[in-house]
Amino acid sequence: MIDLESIAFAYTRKGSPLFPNLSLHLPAGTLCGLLGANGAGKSTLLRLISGLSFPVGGRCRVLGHEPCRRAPEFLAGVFLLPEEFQLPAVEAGTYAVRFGSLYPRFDEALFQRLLGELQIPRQQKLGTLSLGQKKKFLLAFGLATQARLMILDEPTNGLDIASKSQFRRVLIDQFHPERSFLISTHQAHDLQGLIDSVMVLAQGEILLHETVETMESRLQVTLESTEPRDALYTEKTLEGFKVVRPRRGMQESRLDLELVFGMVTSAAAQVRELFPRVAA
Amino acid sequence: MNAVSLRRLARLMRNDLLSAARPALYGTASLFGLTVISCVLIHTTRIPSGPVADLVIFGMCLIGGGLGMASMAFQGMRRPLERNRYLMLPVSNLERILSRYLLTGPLFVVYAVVAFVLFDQVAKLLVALWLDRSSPLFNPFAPPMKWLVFSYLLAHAVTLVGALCFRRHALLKTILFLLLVILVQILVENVTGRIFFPGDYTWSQFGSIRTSNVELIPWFAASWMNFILVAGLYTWLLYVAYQCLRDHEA
Repeated sequence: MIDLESIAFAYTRKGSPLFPNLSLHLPAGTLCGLLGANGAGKSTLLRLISGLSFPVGGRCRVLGHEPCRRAPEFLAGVFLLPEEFQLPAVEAGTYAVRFGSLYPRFDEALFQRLLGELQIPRQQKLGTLSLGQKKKFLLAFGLATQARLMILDEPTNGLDIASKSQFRRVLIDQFHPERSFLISTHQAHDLQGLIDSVMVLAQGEILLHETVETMESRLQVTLESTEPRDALYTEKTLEGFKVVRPRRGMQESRLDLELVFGMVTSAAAQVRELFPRVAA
Repeated sequence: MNAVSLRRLARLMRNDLLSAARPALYGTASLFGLTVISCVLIHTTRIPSGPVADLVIFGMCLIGGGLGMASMAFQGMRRPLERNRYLMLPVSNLERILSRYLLTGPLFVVYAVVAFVLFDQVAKLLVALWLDRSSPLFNPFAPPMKWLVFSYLLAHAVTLVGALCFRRHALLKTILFLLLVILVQILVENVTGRIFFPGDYTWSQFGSIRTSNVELIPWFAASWMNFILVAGLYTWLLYVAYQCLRDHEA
């Protein structure tokens, strides 16, 4: 679904490139979380994939198209929910009639159902909705377009606790083997239990891209009273130290995405040894 | 999918039209007000009424309103919060530019003519009722209209390029740029004239002191050549606008 091969990208010609040589492969039927620190280039990567920014080198194929050519067929298959956006001062139904008609596979019935599930007021002008409601509205619209690749940039920003739960439920309901979700977020906890693979972007490259299942089979998270020296990553909490180690034995532990992110950024070399797929 | 699908283009045009409905409505109301006021002023002052006055008023409305709209045609693309949503719509670049070109260019001309004919009739009817004076109605098929529309379409193509190239105050910057081009053209003409026809120029006067008998471009007098030249320039301007849209997406 997404194939990036040695992509190079820089915002200025003279400045150092944000991505000197970035490669990425994301198959169809994936719910992938994209994690990274501020300024790591998460939004830029999403823009490159959606064809809003053009790489200066390398090969980029998404849904079998070159995103920078911006073919209508490609754009109909990709839906981007940006972090910040503005909606016109029209009602939800009017918006769907106007813009939904441009998408060849737009499902009006699904859109109406999702509006109900996400509790979006139908009679209110979109411009007057709260940020969270606007995000839920655009998510409903995006899912109704039947886009095969849904790119969500910080989708849970501005969502209250109930809305986050609705968001997760709707995403799981609308997930199928032909569709992929690429979700960029700082709120790693919001994706806990939702995503099936994790991608960590740092220093202009993908430091880790692995399925949650594989990570759980190779890592173990424990709570210890003292800080160990042999851990991949430790985080001090009120109860003690949360410790991430390579897994030994059969003991299973649930992966904490924030700990994974901390581990990847602080022990990149060891992570590469444990998960050599990206390095290879 | 093709670069241009008529069905998709029609839908995009409908969306663009609906997005611009409010300013278009205000513009139409202003046109009506302006027509009535002009009509009353013409009949209550010594300004000569007739086809020339009608053409001047119509020309002002067409060029002022149309170029104003064309200069703002891509404002949404400048706003970061609207930009992504607009650029991610599943339409081609050619359709994006065609839609706004048609709406602010040829279709605007048709709209302005129809609206002006209607408003002119209403205004002259009101003047006849209030002031008991009458004057001939506006003739949209008068010969000068052709030149007015051609001039508008050419200026419109330039404005569309300006709307894509300049982030802010597109119309003002386009006018300033055109003035600069004209100034440079005059300077180049003078310098070239002084080099190749020194007898026709003096250092105490800016322009030529006598009309040159030399035809620089003899075939230029042919009207069909003129037409091809203008059509070529027009197409080139639209191509530049299309390239600007593509470059601005990155």
